[in-house]
Amino acid sequence: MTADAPVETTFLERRRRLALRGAASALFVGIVSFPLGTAIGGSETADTIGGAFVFAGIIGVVAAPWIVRAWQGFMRRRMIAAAVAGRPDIRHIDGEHDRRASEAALSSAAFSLGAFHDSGLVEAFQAGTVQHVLTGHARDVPFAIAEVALLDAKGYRMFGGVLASFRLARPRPGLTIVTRDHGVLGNLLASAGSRVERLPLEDTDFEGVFEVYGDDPVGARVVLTTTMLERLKALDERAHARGFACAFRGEHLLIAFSGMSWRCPAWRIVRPIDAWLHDYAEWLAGLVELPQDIVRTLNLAAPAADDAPRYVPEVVPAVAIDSGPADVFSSGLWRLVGEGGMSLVYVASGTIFGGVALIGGWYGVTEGYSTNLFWYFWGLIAAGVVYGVYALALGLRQLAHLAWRWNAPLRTLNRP
Amino acid sequence: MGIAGGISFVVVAILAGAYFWYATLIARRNKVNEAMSSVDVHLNQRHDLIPNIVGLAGRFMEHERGLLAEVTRLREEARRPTGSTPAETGKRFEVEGQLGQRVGQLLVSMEAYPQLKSDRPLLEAQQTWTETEAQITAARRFYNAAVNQLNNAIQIFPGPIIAAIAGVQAMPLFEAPAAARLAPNVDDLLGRRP
Repeated sequence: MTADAPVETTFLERRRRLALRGAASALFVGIVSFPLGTAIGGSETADTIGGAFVFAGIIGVVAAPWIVRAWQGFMRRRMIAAAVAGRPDIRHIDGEHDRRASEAALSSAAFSLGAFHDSGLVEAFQAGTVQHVLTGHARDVPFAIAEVALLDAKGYRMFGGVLASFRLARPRPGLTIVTRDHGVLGNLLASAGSRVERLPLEDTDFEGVFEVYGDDPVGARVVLTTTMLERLKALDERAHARGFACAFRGEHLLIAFSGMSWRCPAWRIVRPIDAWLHDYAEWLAGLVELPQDIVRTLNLAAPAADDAPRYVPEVVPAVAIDSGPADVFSSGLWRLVGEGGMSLVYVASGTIFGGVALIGGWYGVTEGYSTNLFWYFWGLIAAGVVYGVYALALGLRQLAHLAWRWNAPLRTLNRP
Repeated sequence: MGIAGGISFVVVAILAGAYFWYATLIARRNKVNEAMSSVDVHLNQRHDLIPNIVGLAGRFMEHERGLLAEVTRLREEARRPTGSTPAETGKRFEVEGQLGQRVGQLLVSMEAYPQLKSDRPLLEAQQTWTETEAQITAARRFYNAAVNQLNNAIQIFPGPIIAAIAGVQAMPLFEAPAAARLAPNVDDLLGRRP
């Protein structure tokens, strides 16, 4: 937990300059050392010095973005702490430094990372890394909001952004998902093969922004009253978040802001603190106020009726939680390279070997092979064709599988 | 591809399109039936609550005998089995609308009886009524959304032709009674005349 931390502009400006100098120096070393290292040579000593320059260049190229990233992390930590200072209703947990506390906050009554499994908001994941958590009570509604990255079994990032969860006073049976509208074709593709069905609602303005899916058409409409549709539209305008999507699931309202980061943009390192700190602090203050806004706007604090049907909470799977940022090689690009690259290799290999075998076969049919090499050639051709078909089919299957799973959280809700 | 091939292609395309439209109509009609059964479940819940409310209220509301009798009569009428043609369904919705409106009047009238306002079983019945009304509203919206999709498919060309061949009819929307759309008159609700 972070203690009250007033913002000291002079100190932050000093840190910015220090980080900027460090990053610029590292970049300079990176740019200059490579050509120098390759130019120096001729003797054993000169080769050693040249090698050292090249090595220094590699370190410089890696260190420059790392320094900027570390500065962004420092700013985020300090500014969030300042935003929650003096707020007894909200607690800031620095997930990068306090793993135990962040684990506890994300496995609590308010927030369970496992509840996001099969919620239709994020793709299938195995583990999560947490950077920062805000937790507390908004109008007596327990909540937690966290900046996280969710990873699959291979370590690729399935989701990066902010997840929020509110413990509802009035549990809602079934699953009701409110996502962004992606147009007629986009919506069809997004929900193809999913067990949830699209639920048309009567508010055309709402339908223009959102798309609703659910496994209980009546239950979904009990949750999404016409008043609630108005509230969700109002919340979307207040949150200014284009990636906003939510799901009512049992005792929780789950919200995902895909792509949202609490870090300040990297380019701000080149501008003096005074020029942008106020805007950043205001944005974070709005973020800290967001849970209150959500509870107030969606009227989540409404108590359950005494005679409301008793709700049996579902058991959600536990999720391994790690602290700190996700691995650099876990991004979508690396996932594409890692999963799609191997599939393309299979396709290329199958095409080449199978193609050569077919050409050989065509030559054999039209021209014929000599008698002593007849079985040798036809054996190779048969093996080439079998391998080509197998590799091509395997590669195409893996590519289709990747395309099917890519950025399709609704498709993780498989039909029974 | 000659002229015969072209004609064959057009015929196959028309037949495929007609079949697709037919399948859509049947799927949407089934969706309407599913929605209707949801409405039925919740309306039955409402019907089951009415004798309880009428019985509890009748102990004190001597001056509302007419209203109580009207509620009982409408409940019996609403529970009577009807067919599923659009006309019969429309008539049934009308009766259900009147029933909901009369029970609403009854609940408002109870405000004038202090003994009723503190009667726990009646308060619980009122709470259950409110919950059930919320479920009915949701089921009604589900039904109306399904009917809207069915009616669109029937009314847009070539829907009328295919619907006539398949015997699929447009269904009525479950609408609030005309009186419910007017601004409420407190004197009417309380059965008073100025």
